Amino acid sequence: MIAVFGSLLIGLVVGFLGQRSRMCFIGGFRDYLIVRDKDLMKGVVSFFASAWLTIWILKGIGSLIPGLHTITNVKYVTYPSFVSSFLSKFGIISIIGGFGLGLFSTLAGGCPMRQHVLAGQGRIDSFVYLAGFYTGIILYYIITVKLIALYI
Amino acid sequence: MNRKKYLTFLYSPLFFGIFVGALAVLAQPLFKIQPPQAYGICIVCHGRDLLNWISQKIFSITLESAEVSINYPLLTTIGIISGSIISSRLNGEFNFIKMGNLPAIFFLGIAVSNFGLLIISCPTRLFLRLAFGDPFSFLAIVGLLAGISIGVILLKRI
Repeated sequence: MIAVFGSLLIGLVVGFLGQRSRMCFIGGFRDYLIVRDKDLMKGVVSFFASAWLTIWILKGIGSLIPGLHTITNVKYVTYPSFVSSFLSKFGIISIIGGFGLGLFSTLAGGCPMRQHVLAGQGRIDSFVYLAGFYTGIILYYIITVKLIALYI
Repeated sequence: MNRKKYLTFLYSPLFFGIFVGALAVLAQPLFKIQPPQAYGICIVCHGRDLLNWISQKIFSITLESAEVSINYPLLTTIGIISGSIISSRLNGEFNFIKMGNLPAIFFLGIAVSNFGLLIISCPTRLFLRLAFGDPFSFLAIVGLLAGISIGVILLKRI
């Protein structure tokens, strides 16, 4: 039950700060590639660094964070070492998924988080994007799951 | 440091990264958003969990859900929209604008959520997973950078 209010609180904080700072994870790389603007890139790098540092501190304090074994809730993955993950089927799916995510998010003009923030700001484009986004989730479980089952 | 300089830092992407990065990790011990690891902030997955909860309650159809949100929904996506509405109302930035080609954006939304669910992360969670040391997220970020580069080339053409 605490997860419901906790996630709502996290969402409010992310929405508020995200609206003020125009943060976007795709935009960080896109702005750097187009106009060499490093402002959003600092946000991406500091997000990674801060998360890594917090994990390191929590691990130092005690076992607040359990091991890596349940990281993705993908049922067909057993956790390989770093090298053998390159050759596994989910490794190939990861590259394809990341590629599609990057390409289509760039064309849409922002990562999913940025689009939620823009929808709160009143951008009509983002309302339409969110409609497609949630339709896509339903379509995934109707169509795409069966296509992946053929490969796995 | 005067107040204006302080607020500029508070509202910069750099502070967003530092604060939200720590919050995303602390969500696990503090708020128990726990069974899949690195699940503090993920737009695609939390949206799916919310949609799954609604479809279970109304149509009794189960899509798929993470272990945290089998019984209760995760309200991150609603929180982000509400937080953004509050912020933009306070600063007078709330207005309805239409810019691009709406049918194309609808299909881009479908594509993004499908590719996101394929690897069960949005770009935000990819970096969170990389911080946890997940090898698959490293591969996905390599793909992400390739995708963004090609997207930028296409944007420059248009």
